[in-house]
Formats: sequence, C-alpha cells, structure tokens
Amino acid sequence: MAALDLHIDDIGKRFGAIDVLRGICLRVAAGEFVTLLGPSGCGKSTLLRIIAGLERADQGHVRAGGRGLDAVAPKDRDLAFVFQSYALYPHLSVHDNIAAPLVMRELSSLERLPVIGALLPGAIQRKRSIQERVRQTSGLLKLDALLERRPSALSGGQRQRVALGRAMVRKPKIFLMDEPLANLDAALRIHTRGEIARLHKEMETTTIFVTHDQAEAAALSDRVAVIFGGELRQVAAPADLYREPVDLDVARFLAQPFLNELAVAAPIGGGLMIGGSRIIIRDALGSGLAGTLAFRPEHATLAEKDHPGALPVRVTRIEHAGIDAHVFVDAEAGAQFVARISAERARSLRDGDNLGLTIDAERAWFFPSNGSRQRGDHSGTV
Amino acid sequence: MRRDLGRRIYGYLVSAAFALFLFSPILWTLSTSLKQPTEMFQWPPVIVREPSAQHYTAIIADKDFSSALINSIVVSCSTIILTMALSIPAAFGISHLQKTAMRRLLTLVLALRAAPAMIYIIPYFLFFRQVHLVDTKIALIIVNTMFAVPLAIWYLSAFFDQVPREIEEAAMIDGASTLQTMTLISIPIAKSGIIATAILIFIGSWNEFLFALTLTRDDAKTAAVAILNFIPFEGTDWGKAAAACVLMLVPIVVFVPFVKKIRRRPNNDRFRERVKR
Repeated sequence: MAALDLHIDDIGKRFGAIDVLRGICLRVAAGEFVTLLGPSGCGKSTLLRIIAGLERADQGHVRAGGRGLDAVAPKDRDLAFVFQSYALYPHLSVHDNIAAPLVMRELSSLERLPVIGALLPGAIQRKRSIQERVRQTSGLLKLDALLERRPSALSGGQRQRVALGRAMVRKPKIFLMDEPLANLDAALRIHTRGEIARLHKEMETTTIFVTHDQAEAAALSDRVAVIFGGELRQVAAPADLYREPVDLDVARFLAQPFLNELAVAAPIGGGLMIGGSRIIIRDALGSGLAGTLAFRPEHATLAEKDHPGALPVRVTRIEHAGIDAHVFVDAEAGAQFVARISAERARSLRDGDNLGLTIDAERAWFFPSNGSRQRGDHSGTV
Repeated sequence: MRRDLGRRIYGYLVSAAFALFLFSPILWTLSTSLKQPTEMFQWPPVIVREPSAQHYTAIIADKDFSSALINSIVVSCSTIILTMALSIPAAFGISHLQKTAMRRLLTLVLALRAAPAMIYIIPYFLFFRQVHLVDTKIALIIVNTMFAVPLAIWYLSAFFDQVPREIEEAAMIDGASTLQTMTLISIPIAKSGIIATAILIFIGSWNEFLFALTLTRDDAKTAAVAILNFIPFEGTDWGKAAAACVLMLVPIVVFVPFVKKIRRRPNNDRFRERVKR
C-alpha cells in the first residue's frame, strides 16, 4: 500500500494566552512509525489533532505526500484517527462501527435506506464489497464473534480493537493514534502494543502515535519526538534517545523511574567536583559553564570504598526489582544517588555499608545550565 | 433509627399533601365523567356507583367536540414536526458554537417568552386577521411553533452537549459531513432527549388555551377551548365537561411512561438496521 510522508512545518497554536505549540517542525517518512512523547499537557495531542484537521493551527503548515492539508476537511485528508476514549458509535453494532467509514464514504444517503437502497443500481455490489472488507478487518483483529454486539457490551480491549478496525478498514494513508493504550490494564497494554507493531509491519502505513509512556514509545517507534511545554526538544530513534538525550527534561523523562542528578560547578578539563572528590566526565570536556551531572542508575557501579576514582558512599536502602536491584546511597555533601546492580550482588549489601560509587565516564551526561548538550540530533529530519 | 422513622413520616406526609392537592381534582373529574346525572349532586357525595360511558359517547358523537379533538391532534402533531425540524439543526449548531454569545441570545429569547401571553394576543390577532389566517389551524401551528422553538432549542442544545465530541470527531474523520454527523451520529445518540423534548412540546401545544381561544372561532377550535361548549350560560353539563377533560388527559397519561422507557434504552435500533445491508 502506498503510504504518504508527512511534513509538519513550523506549527504554532495558542489557546487564549497560552502557547500550546511553538514552532514544531517534523518530517515523517512514508511508512514510518513516529511517536510523539511527552508529559500530559505538553501539546502532543493538540499537534495530532492539528494533523487530523480537528484543530486549526495558528501558524505553520501540514503537508502529506506533497499536498498541503491546511484547507482540507478531516474526512478528505485520507487519514484515520484512534481516540483514547475509542469514540465508538454507541448506537451501532461492532459490525456497523467498522463499516461506518465505508458506508459514509461509498453509499449515498438514498442507498443507505433499508428497502429503497437495495433497488438502486450498483448498491448491492457496493454493499457486498463493504461487507467483505469489514469481514477481512474483523478477521485480522479477531472480532468475528463480536460483530453483532454493541460497544457497551465489550471489554476495554475489545473496544480498542474495534476502534483499530474502524481506523484500518478503509486503508488510510496515515494513522493517527492518541494514547490508544492508556485505558487498558498493564498486561493488555503490552499485548496490544505488540498487535499494533504487527499491524504496522503488515500495512506499512505512516503512523503517528501519541503517548506519555516512554516504554511504549521505545517499543513501537522508528523514531520518537519528545515534546515539552509545546516545544519539540528532540527527534531520534529510541536507542539514540536513550543514549544521547539533548537536555535534562528529556533525560529525566526517558529515565523513569530514576535519574541521578547533581548540580555542579563549572567543570575544569572535564572534571567535576562532588564534595571533595573530582571525577572526569567525557561529556563535560570543553564546557566552561556550571550545570547538572546526570547519569542513569545502570551507568554507575558499586565498588570497594577505596577503589581509585570512586566516590565514597553509604548504602541507605535497597530495592529489589527482579533480576536487578536499585541501591540508594548517600554521598558526601548531602548528594544522593541510585545505582542499579544485579540482584545477586545486592544480596551481599546491607544498609549502612560504606562503599565506593564509580560513574561511567563515557555514558554520564553533563547538561550545562544554558540548556542543551552539545551533541544529539535536534534537526528532525530523516 | 427513631430519627429515620420521623423523617419517613415527614416525607410521606408532605408527599401525601402534594398528591392530594394535585390528584384529587383529576380523580373528581374522572369520577364525575363516569357518573349518572342523578349521582352527580348527591349529598353525601358518592364515588361512582354504576359507571356509565354515556357522557363519553355523547361527546364523541358531538360533531363540535370531536372535530375540535381532531384539530388538537393536527395542530399538536404539526407543531412537533415543525418545531423539531427548526430546532434540532439550530440546537446542534448552538451546541457546537465556540463562542457563548449565541447561548446568551437564546437566554434572552427565553426571557421574552416569560412575558405574559396577554401581551401578544391583540397584536397577533390583528396580524393574523390582516393575513386572513384567523380561525385556521395554520395560525395556531405558527404561534405554537414560535413559542415552542426557543424552549426546544434550549433543551435540545443541552442534550447535544452531552454527545461526546470525540464521537462526532470520529465521524468527521470517517467521512461524514456536518449534516451526516448530525443525522447519523448525534441525533441517534441524543435520541431519548429529543423524544422527551418532543413530548414536552406536544403537551404544551395540546394544553394551549389562550391563543386557541382568541385566534379561532369554529373551524379551527381545539379541544382545550371546545370544553367551554359544555359550560354555557344555560348551565354547565358537568358530565360532558368532565368526560372531555379526561379525554384531553389521555395522550399525556400515555406519554409519561413512554418518556421513562426511552430514558432506559438510549440506542436506536432502526439506525442500526439501516446501516447494515
């Protein structure tokens, strides 16, 4: 199927006095799966609604496959939208919900009538073709047994699949999904996530997926666009985003549950002072500004107290999490850190143990106080 | 426990007082309509000793009253259809307005409606005489519709407000025009509210008295006015008047449980059939 590329060009949107979106530029290649990731209220859903045509941007343009969409009605944009609430038609059966986009597009209002409709030339073939496609879609989503039910008689996961079916049935060129998994329980969310990935692989439709769940974004996306406070901060593949967050907000958001942070004075030759110890961080090389040292728990290890280059720390709490454990430690000058080590290793530790914390100098980040790190992809191009 | 009992007794007392006040005239009318003329003025009064349908058969046979009843049905049904045709699209539009200015305008129209109807009678009579519509059903339908539309828009826009916007947006993406979104999605979802509104409009038009009295003479007289026929100067025919009142009550008694029923079942089966095959 022919997917379309999507160009979002300098989109801005205000609600009253609030800038909801500012200068958003994003290029999505045909067939790509891009996630808009950000905390609630960051404007990601508004951006999706602007792409769909449900909301009008105050500035900027949306283009799909080279065609300007700004003046095009939502129904003529050749895209489908999956709502967080699913927005199924409550008065229609599952079958009719899935058929609705086809019925609305392909049958005239006369042909929709029960008896007269069947008498019109060509209507029967068209209705049969609609039936056929509804059956295909419901088969793909395992909804065959539910076709006669009303949405009110379905579970959350089933409703979600109906919403997907309604979006898929007319084979749109672009899929827009607004937190479609948010209302599902944890196990079902992970299962459905897999389904969405599988469907995307089969259909190769350009997909924009909105979520506030970084794990969901990482699991599904070719690239993730991180939005904070109406600004696009970074667009990168999940692995790159994990390795090279462009600023502290992005790093924090992608390091749930924990990110170690410590405000530090301007580095000298890449060396940062933590209490009385000096550690060298590659990221801080060449920077002469005060800022924040940040590293993930998995980029720190616990060693003997007198290990060379290690910060002296004291264990305060150990949290086991399956194969790993998070060890919370106090360092000098009131600094607190978390290290992620193997659960095996953590079993030999006790609260109050005095140890040495070594930070991975290659992987830790230094965020200067004036904003972004030097590295990281911020261009937004493919 | 004791306080609960006290509360319950208080509740029942208040309800009983209300019920007595509101229902006893209806029961009195019902019993009068079924009484023999001889029973009517008996003292001490009797409820009904031998129920008789003689007053009902008499008023049905009465050409004047039965044609008035038909007028009432025609006027009320036409008022519903016209009012709904005008106010459903208007309410849908107002419900989707971004700005609240229009809603305030509607409040103003409703406030004007609160003016005593007497104010309208003379100008409207003069107007309809000028256009030769006095004593026509059309005049009554126009007046009833004019007075019903603002109220209907007011109610209906509240019902359309309750239709989730996302569902309408889904329809707009699925390929529906604004009109189709309204007819295929929003109206079926708001169906129970629409029917409830229609019934209210019907009842209002059915019971309307003042304009029917002033704008009609013979041909277009409605039942609410025709009851007066049984209360002439020569002495009221209580049995017929009571039977006529009971007949007037019938559609209202029929509709009230219906309103309750549609509240419970908000889905529209006909629409479902229509989309399928």
